[in-house]
Amino acid sequence: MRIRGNPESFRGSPWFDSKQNKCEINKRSNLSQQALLKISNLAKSYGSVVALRDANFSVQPGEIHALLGANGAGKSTLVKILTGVIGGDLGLIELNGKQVAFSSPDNARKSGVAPVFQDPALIPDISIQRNLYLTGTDKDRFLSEISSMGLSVDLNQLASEIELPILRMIDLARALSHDPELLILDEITAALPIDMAEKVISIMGDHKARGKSVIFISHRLAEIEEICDRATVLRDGINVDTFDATHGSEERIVAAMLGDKNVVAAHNRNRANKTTTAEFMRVESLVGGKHLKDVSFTIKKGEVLGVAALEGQGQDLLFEILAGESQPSGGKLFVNGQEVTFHHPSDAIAAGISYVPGDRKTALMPQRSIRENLALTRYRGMRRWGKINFTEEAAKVDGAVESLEIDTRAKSQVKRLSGGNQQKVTIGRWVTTGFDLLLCFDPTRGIDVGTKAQIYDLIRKFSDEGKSVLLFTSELREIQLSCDRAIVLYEGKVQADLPFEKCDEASLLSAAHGIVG
Amino acid sequence: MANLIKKAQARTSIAMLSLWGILFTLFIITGLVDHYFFTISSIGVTLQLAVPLGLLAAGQTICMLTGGIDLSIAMIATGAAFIVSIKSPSGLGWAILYATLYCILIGTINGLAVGLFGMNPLIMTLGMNAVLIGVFTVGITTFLKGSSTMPDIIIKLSSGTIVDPISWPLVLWVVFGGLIIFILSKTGLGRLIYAVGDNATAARLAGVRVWKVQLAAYIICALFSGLAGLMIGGQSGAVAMSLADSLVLPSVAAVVIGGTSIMGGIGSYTGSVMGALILTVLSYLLATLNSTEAVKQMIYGAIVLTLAWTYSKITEKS
Amino acid sequence: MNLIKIKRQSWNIGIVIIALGLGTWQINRLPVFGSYEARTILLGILPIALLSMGQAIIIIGGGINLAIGAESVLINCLAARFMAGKSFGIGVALTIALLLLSTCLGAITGLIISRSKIADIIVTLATSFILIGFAMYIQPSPGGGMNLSLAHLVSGKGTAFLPPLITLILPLLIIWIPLYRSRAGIAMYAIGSNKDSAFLSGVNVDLTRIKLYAVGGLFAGLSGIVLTAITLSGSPFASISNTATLNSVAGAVLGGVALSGGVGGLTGPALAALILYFIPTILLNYGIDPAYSQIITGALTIIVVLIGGLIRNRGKKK
Repeated sequence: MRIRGNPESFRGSPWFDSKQNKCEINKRSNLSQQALLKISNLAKSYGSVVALRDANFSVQPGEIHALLGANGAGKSTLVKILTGVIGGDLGLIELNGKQVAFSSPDNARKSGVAPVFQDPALIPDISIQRNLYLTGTDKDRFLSEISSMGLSVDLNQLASEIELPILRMIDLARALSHDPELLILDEITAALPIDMAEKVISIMGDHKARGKSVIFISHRLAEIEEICDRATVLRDGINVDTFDATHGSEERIVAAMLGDKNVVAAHNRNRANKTTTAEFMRVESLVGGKHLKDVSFTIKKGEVLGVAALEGQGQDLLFEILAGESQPSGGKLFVNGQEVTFHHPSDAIAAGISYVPGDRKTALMPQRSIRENLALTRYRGMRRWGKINFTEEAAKVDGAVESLEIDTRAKSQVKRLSGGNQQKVTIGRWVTTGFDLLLCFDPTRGIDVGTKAQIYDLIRKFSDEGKSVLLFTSELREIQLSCDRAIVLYEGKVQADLPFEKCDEASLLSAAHGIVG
Repeated sequence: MANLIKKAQARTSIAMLSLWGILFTLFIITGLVDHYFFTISSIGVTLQLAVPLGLLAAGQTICMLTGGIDLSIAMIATGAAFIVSIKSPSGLGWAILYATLYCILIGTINGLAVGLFGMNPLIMTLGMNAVLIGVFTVGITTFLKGSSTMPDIIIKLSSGTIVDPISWPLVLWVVFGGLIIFILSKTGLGRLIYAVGDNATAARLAGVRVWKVQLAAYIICALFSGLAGLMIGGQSGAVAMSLADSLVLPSVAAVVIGGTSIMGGIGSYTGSVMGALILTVLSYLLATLNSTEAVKQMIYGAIVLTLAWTYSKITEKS
Repeated sequence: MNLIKIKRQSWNIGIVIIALGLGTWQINRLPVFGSYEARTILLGILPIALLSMGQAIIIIGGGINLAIGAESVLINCLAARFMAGKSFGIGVALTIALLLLSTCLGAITGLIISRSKIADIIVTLATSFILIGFAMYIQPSPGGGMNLSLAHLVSGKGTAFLPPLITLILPLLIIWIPLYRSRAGIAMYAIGSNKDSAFLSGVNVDLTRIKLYAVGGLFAGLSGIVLTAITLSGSPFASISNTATLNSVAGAVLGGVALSGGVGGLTGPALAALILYFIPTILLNYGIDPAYSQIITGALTIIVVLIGGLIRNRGKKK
C-alpha cells in the first residue's frame, strides 16, 4: 500500500538542492541481507511548515541505529509516521521487504514496531495492570522484563502516582513484552538517572543479541558511541549522513548536523562596548522543576543574550519563571538591582519583562483578528476596561504592523496566517505596549528564511533602542548572527558563557552536550 | 488580495444572512397561516414577547463567550422578580436596589467559583439554581413574605405599547441590547471577554487577570437575568417560582443558533438577538398551528442541532 | 486487600459511612422498620441510582449527557403506552426492545458528538428537546400502565424488598463489572483520562465514545422501565426529565466521579443515591420544609465538586 504521491514530481520542487553534499552510506559487510526497515523519500508537511522533505533511512536486522538531528530536523515526525501516529504525505515504508502504512499505533505494534516516547503513553488515572490490559500486554512477561531491569512495580499503582523515570522504564518494559522486531526509543534517556540510563543501554544490547533492532534517538553522544552500530543524521527534513558510530564520530555528527548551507549574512552592526552598560536583570542560583538546578546569569541593558541548550534541559521552564508564569523553588531574581518575585505574568510585565512563547498556540487568540491580538496587552489592567480609544489603538497597531511588516491580507482570524506572520504578531503585541526585556523562546522555529531574517533584524533593532532580549533558539547559527553573548544550559546549570565571537555553532553544540574546552 | 478579504467577510456574513433568511421564512409562513400576524400590532406583540428571552440571551452570550455557561439564570430572574414584588410596597426604588444587589451577589458567587476556584460552570450554576430554588421556596413563607404582584410601573414597562409596533419592552431591549453590543465591541472589557474565551493562556501571558474578567461576565449575566425576570413578572402580572424555567434552555439555544460557540471566543449578541427572534416566531407559529408541545420541543431540538452542526462545519473548513 | 486498593476506595467508604449514618438516623425515627420500609427506600432510590450510574459512566469517559433524564422519560412513556393491558410475555419482549432502543439512542448521540465535533453539552441539550418531545408525542398526558406481574418482578410488592434490591444490584453485576474489567471499559477510562495517551495505547477514540454513550443509554432505559414499574404510568414532563438529569449529575459527582474524566466507578453513585434520598426524607420527618433539602443537595454538590477539584489539582503544577 503506497502512500499517495509521486516522489519524482517532488524532486522538482524548489526545496530540493541537488548540489547538497550527501555522504555515501557506509556499507557494512552484511548489507546483502534484506533490510528490516527501509524508508524511502518520506515527506510530510504541516500546512506551510515542511517537517520532512525527502528522508531515506534503513535499519538492518540485529542493528542498533542512532537517529540524530537538531531540534526541528524531522526526527519526531519520522517516528510518528513510522509508528502510525500520523500519516505521511509522500514516500514509502517497507518492513522486511513488504510495503506498509500504519493507520494507528496499535497497527504498528502488531506488525512488530514498538515505540517508547519521552512522554510515557500510559493512561495516568488507571493502574499499571489495567494499562497493560489495554495494550494486550502479557502480565508475566512484563513483570519478568521489569525484574530484569532490577526494578519492582506494584501493578495496582496508578500511572499518575509513579515517578517519570520509572514510568519510562515501565513503558519500555511494556514495549519489550511484545518482543518487537523494531524497538524505537525516542529520547528516553533524557533526564533519566545514570543507573537507569545504563540499564536502558544494556537492554538495547540484549535486544540486539536476540537478533532484533533498535532505532535510538538521543542527544547523548557518549551513549551513541557506546552502543550504536550506525548513525543517521537528519537536517531540515532530509537525511544527510549515515555512518558507523565509532568513537570520535562526534565531530562528524556535529558537522552533519550543521551542514554547509549558505549562512544568512551576519549583521554589520555596531556591537561595540556592551560592557559599560548597566545590568538590567540578574538571576542567582535559580532552582525549578526537574531540570533547573543552579542557574545564574546576568543581562545588561540593550544586550541580546542568547540561550543554547538541547531539548529538555529546562529552558522552557526558565523562560516561564522569568515571565511570571511559573514559580521557582529556589534562587533569586533581580531587576534593576531590586529583588523581585513574580506571581503572575502581570507582575513581570510591570517590571518591564515581556514574553514571546515558543508555542504560538499559547500566545495567540486564533479566532480573533490581527488587530485584537496586537492590541490585547493594552487592555490588561482594569483601568482599561472602558471605552476603547480607537484612534490611539489604530496608531499603535498600525505602527506595529509597519515595523514588523506583518502581512494583513487575511484580516479576519489570526489562525489563517502563515507561521511567520503569526510569530510576528506574537512579538508585535509587545511593540504596542513597550518593554525593557523581551523573552523570546525559539521565535524562528518552523519559519521561512525571509521572515527569519526580519526577526533577526527586529531583535537587533530592539537592542539599538536600549532594550534587552533573552533569546533561546534551537538554531545555533542564529546566536552568532543576532546575539551579543550566549549562555549554554546543560544538566541544570549554565555550562558556558561566551561572547559572540566565540559563539560559533560547533562550540555551542559541544557545550550543549556537556563537552567543554 | 481584495478577493481574500471579501471571502473572509463573506464567510461571516453568510451566517448572518442565513439567520435573516430563516427568520424571514418563518415570518412569511406564520403570516400565511395566521393572517393577523402581518398586522403591525401583532408584530409588536411578538417583539414584546421576545424581549425577556432576548435579555436572558444577552447574559448567556457574555458567559458563553468566556467559555462558560449560566444555568442559574432561571432563579436569578425569578428571585429578582420576587424581591421587587415583595419589597415594592415599601418603595419601588428600594425594591429595585435590593433586587440589583441580589443579582450582583449571585453573579459574584458564580464568577468567583468559576474564575478563582476553577469550578466547572455547568455544575456550579446548576447547583446554585437548586440552592436558590430551595432558598426562595422557604423564603416566601418566612422572611420574604409579601405580595406576589408586580408594581404597576413594572407592568407598564413590560407590556405597554407606545405606538405600534414599538412598545416599552422593545425600547428597553434596544437600550440594554445596545449596551451589550457596546461593551462587546467598543470596550476593553469586551475585548478581554473574547480573549479569555478564545485562549485564556494567551490572555494571562499578556498580563490579564483572567478571573476578574470571568467575575465581570457572571455579574453582567446576573444583572441582565434580573432585568429579564422583572419583565416576565410584569408581563404575567404576578410572580411564581416557575417564572423563568421555560426560558433557560431556549436562552442557550438562542445563543447557539446565533453563532456563539460554547467553547468561547467567537460570536456576537446580534446573532443571539436573531436567535431569540427566530425562536419566538417559531413558538408563535407552532402555537398557531395548534401543534402540541411535543412537536415544538422536537423542532426546537432539531433546529439547535442543525445550526450548531452547520457552524461547526463552517469553522472547520477554515 | 492491599493499602492502595483501600486508598482508592476511600471515597466510596466515606459515602457508605455517611449513607449508613443518615440511614440509621432515619430508621431510628421510624416506629417500625421492616421489609415494607426497606422496600420503600429501595423504590425511592432505584430510578435515580440507575440514572446516576449511567451518567457516571459517561462522565468517566470524558463526556456528559444532559439528555439522560429525557431518555429515561421517553422509555418510561413508551413502556407505559405499549405495555398497558398486555400480557407478561409481551411485557418482557417490549422491555428488551426498549432497552435496545435506549442503547441505540445513546449510541447515536455518541456518534453525533464524534462526527460533528460539536461540544457534548450542546448536542445533548438539543437531543434532550427532541427526546422529551417524542415522549410527549407518544404519551400526551400521564397514563398507560404495565403488566402487574412484570411490575412486581422489577419492583416487588408489599413487603417483598428483594426484587427491587436485585434490580439495583443486577445491572452492577452483569453489566458494569464485566465492562469495567474488559478492554472496552478500560478504553472508556482511558479516553476520559487522556485522549492522546489513549490513542497512543491503541484505543479507537470515536468508537469508544459511541460505546460510552450507548451504555449510558442502556442505564437510562433501565431507569425508565423501573419508573414505569413503580408508578405504573408514563409521565411526559420536561420538568421531570430536567430534575432527573440534574440529580443524575449530582449522584455521579457525590459518588466520587471526577468531572474531568477517568476517575470513579458505579458503586459510588448508587450509594450516593441513598444520601440524596435520605436528606429530604429526614428533613421531612422533622417537619422541615423539603425545600431545604434542595438547598442542601445543591450546596453539597457544589462543595463536593469544589473540594474534589482542589484535592486533585493540589499535586499538579501551575
